[in-house]
Amino acid sequence: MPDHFWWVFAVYGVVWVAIILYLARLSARQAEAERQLEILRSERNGA
Amino acid sequence: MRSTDRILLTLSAAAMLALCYLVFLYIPLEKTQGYIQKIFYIHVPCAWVGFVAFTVTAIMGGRYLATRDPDHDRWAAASAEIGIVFTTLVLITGPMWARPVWGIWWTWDIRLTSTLVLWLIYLAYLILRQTVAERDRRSVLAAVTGIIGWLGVPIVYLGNRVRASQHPAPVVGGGEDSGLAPIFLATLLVGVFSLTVFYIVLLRARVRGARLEDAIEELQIAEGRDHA
Repeated sequence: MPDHFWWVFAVYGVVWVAIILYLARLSARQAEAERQLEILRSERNGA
Repeated sequence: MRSTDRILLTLSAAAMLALCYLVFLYIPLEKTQGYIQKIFYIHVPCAWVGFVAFTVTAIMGGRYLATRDPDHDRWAAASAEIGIVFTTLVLITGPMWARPVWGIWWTWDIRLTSTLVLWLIYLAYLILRQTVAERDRRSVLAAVTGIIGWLGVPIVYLGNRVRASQHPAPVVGGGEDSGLAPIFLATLLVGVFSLTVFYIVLLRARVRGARLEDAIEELQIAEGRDHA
């Protein structure tokens, strides 16, 4: 293994993990907003 | 996730795999820095996406001021948030390159310092959006901050072009002595392509989320009015 291989790999790993976590967070936030909106709309229609 | 986003995400992932193949298995070692130079192919694309994201924030902020269309404000805010993510990655990958090469994590050099200041400006932009409650006022203040803050982008870009800097000299658009061998340039462009397409996916997802959040806010306001 060349010198600094794992160091360079870690740098790429930081970027991959960060952008994947960010995308997952956006998806979760969107799903939660959709759920909340659905509840609010059904409450409003029921009222 | 919509089919366009799936296609874009697949394109981005394929380009990222190609980048990893090129970086770890194909391109030769750079003469002076050796293996550690390979950080360049992810560090520069992150910086590029940060610049693009903040530029989109400034443009959409300007369009919001001209039209008062809340969707322009959503695009501006979404892009600023993503710009912060990628500039944070620049501020992480840069010191991880510097430690083995310079022997230090950080120095108050013009390129590094101006990047940190740019990051702080857009962090302030996002904090401002959280602290101003009234929507129109928040959007106007954010648009103005986004436009003025964008001045940091050319300062970061030109920093080590106009002043002596410890940061490596620019290899693309850096004058007569600059330039990359075709295979190094191709690898860099694959990284730029991958992260730019990923930025578009993130931006579209964030704007969709913002539209939903605004719809919730409007319903809650209407509900409050009904109960009053």
